[in-house]
Amino acid sequence: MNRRLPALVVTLGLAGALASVVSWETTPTTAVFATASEPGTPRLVIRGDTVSSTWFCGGTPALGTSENGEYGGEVILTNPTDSPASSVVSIFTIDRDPIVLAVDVDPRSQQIVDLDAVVSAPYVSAMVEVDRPEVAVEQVSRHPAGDAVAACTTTTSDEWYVADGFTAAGSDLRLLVTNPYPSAAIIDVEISTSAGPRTPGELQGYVVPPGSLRVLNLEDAGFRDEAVVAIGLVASTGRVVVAKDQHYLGGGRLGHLTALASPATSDEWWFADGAFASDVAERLVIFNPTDDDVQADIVVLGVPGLEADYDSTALTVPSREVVVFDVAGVPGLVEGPHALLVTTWSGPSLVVERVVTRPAGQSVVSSTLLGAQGDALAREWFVSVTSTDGSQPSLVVLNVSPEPVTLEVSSIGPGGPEPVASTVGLVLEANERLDIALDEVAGRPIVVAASDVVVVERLIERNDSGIGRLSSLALPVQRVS
Amino acid sequence: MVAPSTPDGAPLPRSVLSGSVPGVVATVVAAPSSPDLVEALTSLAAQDYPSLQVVVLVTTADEDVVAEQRRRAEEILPSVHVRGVGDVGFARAANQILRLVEGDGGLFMLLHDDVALAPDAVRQMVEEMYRSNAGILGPKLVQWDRPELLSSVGFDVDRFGELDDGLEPFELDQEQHDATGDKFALSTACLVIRADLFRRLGGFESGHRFHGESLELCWRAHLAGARVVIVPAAVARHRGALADRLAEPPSEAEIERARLATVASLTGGFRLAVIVPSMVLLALATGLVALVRGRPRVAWARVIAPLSLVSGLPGILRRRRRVAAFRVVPDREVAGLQVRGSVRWSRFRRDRSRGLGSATSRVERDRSPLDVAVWSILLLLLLVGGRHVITDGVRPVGELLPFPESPVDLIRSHLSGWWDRGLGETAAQPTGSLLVALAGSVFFAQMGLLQTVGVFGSILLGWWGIRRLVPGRAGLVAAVVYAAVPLPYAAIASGRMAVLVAYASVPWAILCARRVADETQATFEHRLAHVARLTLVVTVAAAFSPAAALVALAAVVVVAVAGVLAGDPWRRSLVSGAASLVAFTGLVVLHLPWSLSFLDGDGWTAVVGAPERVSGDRGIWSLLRFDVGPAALSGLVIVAYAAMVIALFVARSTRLVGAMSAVSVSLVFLVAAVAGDAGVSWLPDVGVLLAPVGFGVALGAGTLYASFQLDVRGGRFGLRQPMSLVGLVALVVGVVPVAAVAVDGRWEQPSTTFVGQLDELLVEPSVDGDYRVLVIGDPELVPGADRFFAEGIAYSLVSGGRFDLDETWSSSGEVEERVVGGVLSAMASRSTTRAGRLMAPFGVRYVVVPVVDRVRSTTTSPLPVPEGLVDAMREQLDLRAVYSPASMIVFENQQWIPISAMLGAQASAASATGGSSALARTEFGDSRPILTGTSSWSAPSEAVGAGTLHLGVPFDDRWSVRVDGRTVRGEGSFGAVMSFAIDEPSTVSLQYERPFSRWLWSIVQIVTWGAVIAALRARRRVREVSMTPIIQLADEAVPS
Repeated sequence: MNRRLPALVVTLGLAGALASVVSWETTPTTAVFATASEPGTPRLVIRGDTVSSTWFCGGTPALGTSENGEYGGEVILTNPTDSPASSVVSIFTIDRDPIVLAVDVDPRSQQIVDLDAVVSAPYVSAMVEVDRPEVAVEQVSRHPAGDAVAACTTTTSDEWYVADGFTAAGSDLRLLVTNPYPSAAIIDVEISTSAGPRTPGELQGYVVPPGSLRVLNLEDAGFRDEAVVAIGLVASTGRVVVAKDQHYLGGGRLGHLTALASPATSDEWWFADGAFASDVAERLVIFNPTDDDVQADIVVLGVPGLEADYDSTALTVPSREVVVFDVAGVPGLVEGPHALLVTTWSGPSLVVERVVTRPAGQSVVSSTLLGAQGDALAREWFVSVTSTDGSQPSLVVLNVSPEPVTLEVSSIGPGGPEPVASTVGLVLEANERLDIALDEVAGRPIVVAASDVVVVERLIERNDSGIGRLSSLALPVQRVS
Repeated sequence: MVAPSTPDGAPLPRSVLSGSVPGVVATVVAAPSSPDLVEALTSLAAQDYPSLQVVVLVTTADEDVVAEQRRRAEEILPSVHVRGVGDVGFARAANQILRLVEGDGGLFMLLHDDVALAPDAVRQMVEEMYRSNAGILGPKLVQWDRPELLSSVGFDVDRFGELDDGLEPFELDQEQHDATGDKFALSTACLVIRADLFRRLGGFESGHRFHGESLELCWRAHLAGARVVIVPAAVARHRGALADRLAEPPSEAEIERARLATVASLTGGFRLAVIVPSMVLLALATGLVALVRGRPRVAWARVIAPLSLVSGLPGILRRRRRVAAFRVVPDREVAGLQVRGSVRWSRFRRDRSRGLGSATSRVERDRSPLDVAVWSILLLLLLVGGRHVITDGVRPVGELLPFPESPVDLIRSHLSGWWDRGLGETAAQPTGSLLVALAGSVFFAQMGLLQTVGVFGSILLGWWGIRRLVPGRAGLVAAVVYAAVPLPYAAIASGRMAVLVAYASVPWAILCARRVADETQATFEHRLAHVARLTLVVTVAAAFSPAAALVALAAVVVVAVAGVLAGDPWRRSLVSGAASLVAFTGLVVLHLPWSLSFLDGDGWTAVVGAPERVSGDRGIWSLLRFDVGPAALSGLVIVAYAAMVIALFVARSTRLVGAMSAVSVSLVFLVAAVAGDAGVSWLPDVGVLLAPVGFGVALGAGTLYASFQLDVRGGRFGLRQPMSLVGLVALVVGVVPVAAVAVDGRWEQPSTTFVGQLDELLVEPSVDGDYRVLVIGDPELVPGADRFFAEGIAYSLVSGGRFDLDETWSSSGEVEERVVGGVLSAMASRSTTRAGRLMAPFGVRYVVVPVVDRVRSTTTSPLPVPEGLVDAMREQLDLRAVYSPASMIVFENQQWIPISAMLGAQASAASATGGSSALARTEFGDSRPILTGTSSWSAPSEAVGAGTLHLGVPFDDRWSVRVDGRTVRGEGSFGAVMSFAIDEPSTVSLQYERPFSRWLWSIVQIVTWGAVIAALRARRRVREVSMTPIIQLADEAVPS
């Protein structure tokens, strides 16, 4: 037994070690190559290790000048840095191979690529690859019914949503689907109208060839005279970029708009600007593309007179349906500007666009804006294309933080950033909104920096006549170390 | 004439120089620790022959041992001469008497140290010499302990050199063989030979080692005209059992070789023309019979022995020339003394008629029908279980990747100094590739067959190793239980070559280490030989799996420590441990310069391989039943652990050491396996760690059986009896399910594999130029994954998308890690959408994400694809999704540049700049492939126009381009690869200049491997001790 005893003791020790190791708690984890890209509100992502930034612009008419006016488009590259930037612009059309241009952008300058001068086509879209992440790319769509400025995006997505489509009174709604990749994309489109959701057969399994643009005419697909046309597009294969080209011809709306659709749903949608007036029609179009009904709360912000105990307006948005909310119906809302927030506790499930129809000269102009998603709120915003009319407010800033924020607004001139004189020392109280006129720096790129998160919206003339203005979001800046 | 004297100048003893009787010098060849020497010398001291001198030749060079033997001998025979002659074997030791004794006027009596003569034996033989005029005489040998039983009365010999003693087993001495007469050969246990004859014959043939000396000596005596006579009146007791007493008894192959060499050396020229072919045919026939009867080693020895006639031809010719010098009797007369027909056949028939079969040798007696039956069943299960693997070959799964098609190319690649792994680099290639190439040459380039043999061989090696480790029938039990461990079958199913290597090498490593330790009393040469064996075992294992080799060595250490705990002498364990350390050092040296690559920062990862998965999900119960692949069986094997533990309680003495070793090695490595499964990433693959666990279970089973036989059965009734019985029943229950793995016929290897599908899917490199494929995903699904991007994500670059054995070895690949890793990081952080362009200069044409390999990941239970991986690929503007089977996701890089190509204008301009931003902006699509199939050892040429010749390998100035006979040096291109300026249209070829160090390393390898192989045979090369005369016989020969 003498020889056996140490053997048994050691065996027991080893057994104990085994029991100890067996009891280790292992947390199953998943291998992560990259955190999923979360498409959302277009933003300017500045990371130190960027090899190349790729911007995808939604698309624009590019037939050129006609007797009605110009049907064209531009891509505007803004380089706010002190170093030159090199880029390659690829132009996608419906029936040709992509056209590739090399474009250099000097320091602190803009470079405009006139798309319809390069290629004449009913529609084109563009992809811009830049070697500097600070360079911002936006698209201007020229149209006789009004120009539209829209940011391009740095991400593609396999799902896109349009909350507000309008084909009433002969209005024209087209969906521009760009596939910039070398593989074909296959998309399925679901359309919700006031009659409920539908899945038109010809838009199921629709193939978007590699490196091309496809234009889906919703009227041709049977959606004529619809005051409510919401669209959900899912790419079962590949990733695409989707924009809408909307020409309002009546039914209470007039004007033209080209803008990106929303690549994702969200639980917060912010609008810095808004107006309640007798001659202004402001509506929120709330689309719920999910399978569950969602309760949405509409909160009016930035109105000094509104009571502190003001209750938000709650709405139920049924699954795959659209609810159009007239902001004028908010109890106690006073005339004047305001900001809006649409939110839900049901997670990212909504897409919200704001449609404002304002008087413009002898007529009216409708401006539709996709709100800023909650994760796009930022302390820094970049506005590459600004109004050339410095006398009127061109920027609207909403403080969305619960604390006062200080603002620094700078213009990018040939000498570098310069503070906008009228904005020095500005402080915005919680939920306060502010209109900023750019005065002598109108037309220059603008940087808005705040001590806390804000939302910045801009107003731009819709054509050279200066009659009527359209809203569009500035680009939130996201710096990644 | 100078008077003879001893080395110290004293005159030689002249006691036998004169007188009426011839002097007899009795020469006892004694082992260093002979137990019977005292009795042998006592019998010599008691001889009634008046003129007898005794010389004891101790087969050691250790002076202390010789002095000790001298002291013991002189106590019995004060006049005895004792000399150490080195461990040279009986024949060469006995031959020393020719140098120790001067003069031909006397007789030599040559004895083993286990022969005790009757008091009148010498006298009887001398008298008979005079009566018969004999040259060689021998006594009747009876058994040592039972002198009533006969041991030897001389041999008849057939023409093939087969000996027939004419005795039945346990034959009583009833004077039935007491007629004095001629014999063809006598036992060397005791021979009397005329000194002049022995000198004329040149003594024994020194090439013999413990076998065949007698036949050769007597045959030559016949040729010299001397009679060989048995003298039954002279009696000697003989212990025999040489095989039991020798540390390394002569093998069956040695015996066969010695016999054939003797026949070829001594048979006359004309008869030889008939005898040799007959011997070859007989060898084949008897080999076949031996195989059928389940004696593969004997069969192999017999079949292979005729080849020794070719390899030993110079020695045979030399011996024939020597014989010609003293041959006086015609060959036909000598042949007349031999028996007709085949002694082997006669003996077989005789034994059958006695109901004994042919069991004559010790080994054969030990091999019971049960052994034969069990081994037959095991082999049958192996062959049936792997029948489809045999017919269709090993499927390329996991690490079981196809062997390269050409062993010659493999050797050329190995010697070139350029390793085409990943992006390629000037680096030492694994020694394993050279071993495979050499083995492939032996297999006449049938590399698939070689791989199949390797897979089956590793299993058989494991069984054989543990069978040799555990003596007796317990070894058979251990082998059966080892075979029942489902680990190797699961390893084959899941393509874990390292597990197979560990399964095969662990028993052998422990066996060799034990041999080293068991021979602490033996010579340095013996220990050296066994250390060399241990080194060779782990070195060969490390050639294919460094982790398996380390685990085997660790198992040796664990067993050594367990031995101390169980009461084994600490010195033995210390020697084992030291041997493993030496072996480790040896493997490092033998693998130079490849082993130096493991000194890099990530060397340990290269040793242990890719972490299997992010976190373990097998659990203890799966590990206990060796569930590392689809071929794992039900949990019944777990009950075999019970037997192992029970052995610890019932074993005694040395069995306790075995039981403790079994339990320790199992538990230690089980703890490691569980830890590895739980996510300890620096541990080797769980399957490799389970190999020693399986070994421990098998060793425990064998120990339990041995303990039951020796410690329990027949003892007093107590707890031991029921415990042992429970353990043995558990063994049976645990072993039976092994039959289930034979059903599938391929151990559940998938019929369709990821590697096979990939090979079919991708474009032939000859079509568009050479390219590489980046395979990235779960480390378990990426064949040859040796680069890690993140936890749970590995990647591998493979030329042409064809995985082969090369991919199982890890390369340093710093450039690969920097470049490809950098591109992957850019993709992951979404800092580029032009990863295709960034990878283009390296010829990366496809990016493949494995999803299902049908082993670890199946369609019903797929492993998750790393999060964000496919999305990141889809966001790349150059990667086109290619239609592919469900088992993988394939993207084609539309911007790839063939590995050797003429660049287009834009690419050519960009090549000088470098930098990822510039790469991302450059269009590469118009590059043209050239020199497809270029390698470091072959340089095809091709006519090209002026431009930039691109070579997609990391910059290395040993690459150059021959342009119409001129050499053009390369320049850095795209910041990492190479380009060559071709000024005008010309014929070009790419060439790689072999580094000079490659030659030096080749010499080092040859020297080191040669040294270890020489050390394996160290015991045969022993020093002979110089001898000077110590006895003087009469100058005149004994009158005939």
